[in-house]
Amino acid sequence: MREYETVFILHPEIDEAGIERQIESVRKTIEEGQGEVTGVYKWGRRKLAYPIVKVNEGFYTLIRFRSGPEVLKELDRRYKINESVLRHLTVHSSGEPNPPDYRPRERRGERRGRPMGRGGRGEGRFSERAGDGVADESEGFVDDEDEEQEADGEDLGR
Amino acid sequence: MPKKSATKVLRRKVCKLCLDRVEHVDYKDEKRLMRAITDRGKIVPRRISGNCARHQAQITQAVKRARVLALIPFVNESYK
Repeated sequence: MREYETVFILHPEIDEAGIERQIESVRKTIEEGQGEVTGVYKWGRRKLAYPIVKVNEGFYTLIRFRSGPEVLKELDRRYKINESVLRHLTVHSSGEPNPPDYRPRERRGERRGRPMGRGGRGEGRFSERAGDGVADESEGFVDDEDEEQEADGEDLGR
Repeated sequence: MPKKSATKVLRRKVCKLCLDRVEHVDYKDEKRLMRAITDRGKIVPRRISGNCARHQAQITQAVKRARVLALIPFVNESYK
């Protein structure tokens, strides 16, 4: 038995209940392999450093668990089948004292802006985008600093 | 120029991570990793950063993991 941690990114269009279901299914996979979940840390919705399957955001979750090596194989297999998982990574737990939700919200926002050279937090914007693409598009043409940032995000979203 | 190279030789690089007494470079530590890559997204080589072998290896591993999770870019957007 070793301690591992697995991170997976879910598609941003999955709703709250869907996220819970996905987490539950990972937990089930671990427990079926006689593993033991020691912690679930939701990082929440955050911007991706590069688009994956044409989306720019994803819902990150990290699960720490203790198990034998067979579980990893099964986890990997199920992740690959599951289309709502954009990315996944399972590694030997670093034993770091800081669980992943150690990062405060604002720090995350600050960083989110820097690497891509565009700011803004996605939260509210995303739901708009999912709702009505046309309205968002017209919004993007407004000639204002803030609006321009929004337009950036939407361009990539399409 | 000889003068210039002389000053260069004199400047001894020290591993910043050793100075900070970092035990382990975590792939989730996006802030640190962003500093360990160039603006193009390449891992800064040891000859530039002056990191010790141990820490450089950890950085390399962490950067690669973080890239998979889209925490940091493979290639910076503007250079694509």
